[in-house]
Amino acid sequence: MSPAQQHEDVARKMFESLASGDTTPVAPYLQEQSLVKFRGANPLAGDHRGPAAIASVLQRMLALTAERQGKLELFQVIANEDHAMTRFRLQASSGSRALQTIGCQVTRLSGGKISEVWYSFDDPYGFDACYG
Amino acid sequence: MTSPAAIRVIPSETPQRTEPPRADSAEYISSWLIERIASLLERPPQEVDVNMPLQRYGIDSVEAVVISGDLEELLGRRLDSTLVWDYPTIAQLAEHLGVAARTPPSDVLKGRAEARSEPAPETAPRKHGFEHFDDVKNHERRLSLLSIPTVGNPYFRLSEGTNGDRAIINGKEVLNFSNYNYLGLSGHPEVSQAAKDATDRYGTSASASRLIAGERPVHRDLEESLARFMGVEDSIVYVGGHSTNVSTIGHLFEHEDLIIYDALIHDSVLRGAELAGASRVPFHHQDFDELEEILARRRKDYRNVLIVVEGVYSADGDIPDLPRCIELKKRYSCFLMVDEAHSIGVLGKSGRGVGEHFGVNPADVDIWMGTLSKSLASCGGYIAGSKRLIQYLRYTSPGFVFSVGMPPPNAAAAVTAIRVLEREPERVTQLHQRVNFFLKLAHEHNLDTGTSKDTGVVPVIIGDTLQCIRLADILLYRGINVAPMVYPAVSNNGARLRFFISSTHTEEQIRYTVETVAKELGRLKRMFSGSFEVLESDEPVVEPPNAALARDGFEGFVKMDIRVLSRQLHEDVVYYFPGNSPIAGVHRGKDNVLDFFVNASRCTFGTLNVRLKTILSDENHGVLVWRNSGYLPELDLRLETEICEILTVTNGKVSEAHWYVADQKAFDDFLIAGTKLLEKYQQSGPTPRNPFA
Repeated sequence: MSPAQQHEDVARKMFESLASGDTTPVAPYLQEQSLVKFRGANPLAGDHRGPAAIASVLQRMLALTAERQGKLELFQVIANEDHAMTRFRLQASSGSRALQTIGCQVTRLSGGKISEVWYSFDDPYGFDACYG
Repeated sequence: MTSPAAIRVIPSETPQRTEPPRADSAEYISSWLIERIASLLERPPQEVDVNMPLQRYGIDSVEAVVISGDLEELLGRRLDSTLVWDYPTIAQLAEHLGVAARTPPSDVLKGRAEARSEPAPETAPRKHGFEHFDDVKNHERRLSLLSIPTVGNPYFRLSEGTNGDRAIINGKEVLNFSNYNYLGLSGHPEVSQAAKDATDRYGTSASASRLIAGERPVHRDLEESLARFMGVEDSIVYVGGHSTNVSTIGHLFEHEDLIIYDALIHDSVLRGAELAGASRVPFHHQDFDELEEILARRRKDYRNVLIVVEGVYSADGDIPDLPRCIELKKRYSCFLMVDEAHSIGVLGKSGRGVGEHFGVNPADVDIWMGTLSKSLASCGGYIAGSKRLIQYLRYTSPGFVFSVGMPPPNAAAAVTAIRVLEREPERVTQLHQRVNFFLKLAHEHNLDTGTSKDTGVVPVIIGDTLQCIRLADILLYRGINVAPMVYPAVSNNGARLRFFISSTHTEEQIRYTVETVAKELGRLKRMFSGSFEVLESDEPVVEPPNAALARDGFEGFVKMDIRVLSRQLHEDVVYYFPGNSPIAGVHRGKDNVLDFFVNASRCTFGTLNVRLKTILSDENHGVLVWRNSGYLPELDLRLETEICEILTVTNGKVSEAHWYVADQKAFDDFLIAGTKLLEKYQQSGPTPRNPFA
């Protein structure tokens, strides 16, 4: 398996962890310096470093998504020897507010391990409004 | 080099066919290009991927022009010089040329005739008017970038008084390094008086072609003076420097000939060579080994071969190895032309130019060309050489025969300038001293002056275009007028301030200037990065086509190279830009997307520093991940965020793009603040402002 294929696999596992709130699939690729970043005005915003903090924020994401009857669906992964880009659809609703957005997960890898993951959405303020 | 998996040779559309492909078919052209590129790379043809942008093979602009020229020969027709850039892969290029070849010339002519007599609605242009020209629209976009406050438009600045070591701009006297009055002879009392006397005696115009009734004694006086000064038999003067080259080269050479020129040669030489219809081959700047290699390979195929170099290159201020040129021209029986626009009056102990600088026999150069507008304080150009050459031009050169003669006051000014120069060679010595003083100080301050040496042109290379324009604006505020040279006049990362040194500049003026440049450049680099870093490698980058397309587009965006961007975008491209800034939203169509790019650059004041982290791609996408840093000093506002841009590629062009910004709010805050600042500046008027003031 080429590095790009390996990284595509890691990116899929990272998404799987995001969707499930369970870091087990991605655990072998996390290290103490691994960093997950969310930005915006929502409870997930901030830097989350290390397996424990990452597990915590992903569980939080799962809880918030579940509360909003949310659904995540991966539709694109492109990887190379140092990065992977993953896109997914996110549907959720909070009260009368419905969210339909496309999320982007950018994963930076080094030596087969995750160095950094950051998330963004094509409707970032909609995400904040729904998850905030 | 590409991996075996990436090797793809364009398949034959009809594999059963036994007849050889037509010489102008896409298939044939593709095969020819594969062989040509393989030969250039010294690789087996099987390793050439027809879908790989040629640039990724390390083929630079010079080699691209050579390939275009060879294609012209192969196909027997003229091709656009930008062809290799417009159709960057072998597959695209071959397909384009094959399609063009399928339209017989007779059909084209017939179609044109029909269009003239009865315009068919379906072939008539949908939109008429210059405002619909892509080039016009893109030019206006570039101009709007120059209206960014703190960048400032450096062009067409009004200046009062004589264009000398000082100038009056906006009513304020400034030091002036933006003219080529190298010896201070424009404005010299004797030269001015001669022009006035000639006006009184002959009027302000020759009022006819010299061949017919425009000849005046002062014309002959000037041509004899020039020939004497140059040490050749005769000379002829033209009303324009640019037209001197165009007319002379275009007239003397033909399609059976070859014109070989330094890659940094002046535009007028290129236009003349185009007019001649000769084959044209550039060699890398100052690379005379390459010149020799071209001569060894191609001399035999042409009737006449002309080598053209400049005495001083006006962008870099460097000098060619003229003795080597003469040796090569003799060995290969070529003509040698030297453009002395920036060397006459500057090089050599007495200002007789690059010939005197090297001590060569003037007769060893077949065509000496020069301008009268620089050291010689007038206007126009000249050709100097043998009596036979000059006589032929005098009776037949279109730019001379069909043009009004040089205005007598201009001719008188130039004659007098030559007399003053012959009488006062110390002006040249003083110029050399001033240049060396400037260079010495510049080096002490770690300014990059490139290869400039012993000439009146000293570039200070900045690199980044916006930084360069901005620095010129700041320097004007500090009382120094110097012109920026940016792309396309120089390479995209070769933007520079071009200092023209005059013998009349004082050491004090030069010291202040160099110290101020160093100080302001240091501050500029700290505060306004406005530049970018890409992932670079010493080895030629070989990338999948969509990654290469993404990289080129990224560079085009950061450098605001509208032409590159325009070429990459599908006509119906859709650009999704998130957030709540004034430029957020869905931008549909190429024009709207290009306007979006320009607006994005304007409202960030060109302050973004962009560091490309990676490029990803698959068969339909190119993906860029980069980090943006920005700083608006007026507001002390900083930006740091990652961005991911996903491009959907259809038929080699971007059809859709999505941006994902890690810190959208910070990005929006920056864009909103920049937009407000821009509006504030626009309300307060167009006067350039120094952001450090």
